[in-house]
Amino acid sequence: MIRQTLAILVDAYRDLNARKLFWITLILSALIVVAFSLVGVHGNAITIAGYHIDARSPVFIYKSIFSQVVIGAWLTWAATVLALVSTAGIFPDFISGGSIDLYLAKPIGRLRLFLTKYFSGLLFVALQVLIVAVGSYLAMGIRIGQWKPSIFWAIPIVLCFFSYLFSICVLLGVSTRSTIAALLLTIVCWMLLALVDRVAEPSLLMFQKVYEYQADQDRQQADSNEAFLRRAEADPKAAKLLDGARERAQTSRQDADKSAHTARVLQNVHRGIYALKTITPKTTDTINLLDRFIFTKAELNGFSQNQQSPGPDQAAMVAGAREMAQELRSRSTAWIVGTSLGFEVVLVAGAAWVFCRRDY
Amino acid sequence: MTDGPAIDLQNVTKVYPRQVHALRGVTLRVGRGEVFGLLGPNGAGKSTLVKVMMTVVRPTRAAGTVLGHPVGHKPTLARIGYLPENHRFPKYLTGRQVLEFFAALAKVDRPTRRRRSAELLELVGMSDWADTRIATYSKGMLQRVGLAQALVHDPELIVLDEPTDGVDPIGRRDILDVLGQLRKQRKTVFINSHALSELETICDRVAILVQGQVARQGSIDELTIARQRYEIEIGATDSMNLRERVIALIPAQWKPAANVTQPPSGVMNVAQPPSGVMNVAQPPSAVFDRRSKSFAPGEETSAFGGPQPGAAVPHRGPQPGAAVPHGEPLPAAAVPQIDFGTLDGVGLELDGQVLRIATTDVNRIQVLIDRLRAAGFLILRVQQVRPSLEDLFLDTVAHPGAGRAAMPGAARVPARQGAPA
Repeated sequence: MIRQTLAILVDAYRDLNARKLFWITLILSALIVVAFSLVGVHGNAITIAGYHIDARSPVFIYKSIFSQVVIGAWLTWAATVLALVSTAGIFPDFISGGSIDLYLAKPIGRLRLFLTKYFSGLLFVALQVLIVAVGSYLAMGIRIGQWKPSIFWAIPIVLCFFSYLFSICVLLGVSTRSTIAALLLTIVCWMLLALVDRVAEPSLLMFQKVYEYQADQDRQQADSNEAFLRRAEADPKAAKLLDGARERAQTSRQDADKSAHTARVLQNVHRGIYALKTITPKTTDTINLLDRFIFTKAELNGFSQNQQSPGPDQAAMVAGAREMAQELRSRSTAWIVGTSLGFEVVLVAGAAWVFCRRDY
Repeated sequence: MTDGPAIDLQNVTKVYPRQVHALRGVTLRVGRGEVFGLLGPNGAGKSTLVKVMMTVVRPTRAAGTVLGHPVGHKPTLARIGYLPENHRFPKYLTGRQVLEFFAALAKVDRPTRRRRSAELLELVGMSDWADTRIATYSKGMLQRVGLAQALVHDPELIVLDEPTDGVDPIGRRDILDVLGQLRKQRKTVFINSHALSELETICDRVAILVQGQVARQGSIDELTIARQRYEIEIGATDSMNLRERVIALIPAQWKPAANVTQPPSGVMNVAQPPSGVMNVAQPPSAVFDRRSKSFAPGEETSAFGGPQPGAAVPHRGPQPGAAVPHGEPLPAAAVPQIDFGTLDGVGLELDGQVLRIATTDVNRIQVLIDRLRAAGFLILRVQQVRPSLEDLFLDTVAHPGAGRAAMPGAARVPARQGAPA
């Protein structure tokens, strides 16, 4: 059994080795790491290839470069697209006529064959992220003196992220037998997931919080205006202020009700999106988990604080954004990864079922 | 386990979606150490049958064993070598890596697979290309490596699907040599091929599959003996009334039931109606069917069926758009049993000055020769003729109603039920 599994893994490595795109991506990953190693911290400044840029918290910025650029931009976007292009054909090629016969005619079960091939497909990204993690670990240690083994969390996190997409790609590849269809539809799914994960859900959550905050403020204002109105009604000297006070109290109460209603509508819509997000892979949230391992709590809170520079009109927005960030961070790793892996398991099970039941 | 047949399939059925009946109760038996050939027209179900044995296709219904284990038993596959049709090895591997990789999948340990790979590459003449990537190989080279791959784990049973497809004559000869060696090693070889002449030289037994059913099965001798015949070329100074004079010489005990017919081409046929005691070349319907094959006038035909040796083989392939019944179970007549020898019957045909007698009984021939000589005929040539595997194949796949080969493709029984024949 081990002999067969090893043979398939070695074969997967040979397959990667023969793909130019694998080497191009690997070289680009290495270049990104080299570029990252040119960044350093000197006193209160970030140094980039000898140039100094003053910064309030250079270490925080340095880590952000790793999190947002090296991992966030390169590995989870550019390198992922290249990885999908490289790996989308693995299953359609594997199950094509004349190829699959050779494998199925060997004393190896279909399910084991499928799963071994599936996991060997993740080898592409595993090798890429390993190079980046090792290089970044060394760079960070040498340049800023912070030897942070937590950087290696990037390996399982990026692998999980890619595996969500790969499971979609494999299901489509096994079902359609077409590399192009699998690749294009996977990218479309990825974009939709990213839209929900990165834009729709956080935005709805933020606006819900903004309107809840606004409703709260409006309610306080309405209460205040109504208290004033009651005092004015009780005071004969203030009779001339009554009309204005009555109008203000009424308007502020209406505003408070309107904000509360909007907040409730947004909450309901957000619940729907949240439910959808619960059963789908959370690509952005998964990658953002890396921040929890790289940044300290103080740095993360500081990051949130730094976001606010509220003017009088922006208080609600800032409060909403802060509450949104806190709620997103409060979601557990188990929920983010667990539910996403649950989705992946369902898709892989479906693909395995198709693979095992099909006649070739 | 070395007792019992290597392959013993019973009632193997495969129905693909949309009611495509690829296999319809195939029963097949291949003994240990046999070289067995599976023939059939395109779409007859040959590859499906092979794939069922190799677990590539899941049968709708299957009983029987392969190497003593039920069909589909995965561990048994370690003892079977398989070369699929149009195989596609990973292009990034070299020939040696292909062999070692597939040997590892067959659970062969590393030292053995290295040794076997080197030996087999030598055997198939690919040593010089062993470390070159498959992507650069020609079709023939791929077939050679494919054959080596099928043998790399030293299997007891070797299943080859079109092993000489795309291979040049030298390559074909080499592959046949390898098969000859396997025969000497008492390996069981199951070959699915269209190369009838090659199969004829190497197969101990063959089966002909037509529309998902085994139409014939047996050794080539067994299958062709029924159509063996003698040809006597006579010389006559006077060709006037030759036909009548020859008929007059037919022994009296042959004559009463004889039915002398004259086909449109002018070839005289002497056949025996089914009620006759002797001379039954074939059932009347078969005689009629052969006539209705629409041979061009003047084309050389025989009462004994099929083209004559040396004559151009009439095209009996599928005709596009022809209304050949398709998908219905083949009636018994579709597999003509022209077993002259075992029936002790004789069919006669006079074609020009060549007299053809459907018998393997040399005594009967002697009687006729004596009578011909006594009547003043010269005997220019006496020859025993055995039909080729190709004749047998063409005869088997021809539909009795239309005379043409069965339409290609698997049968769709329910969809065609009640269709006009």
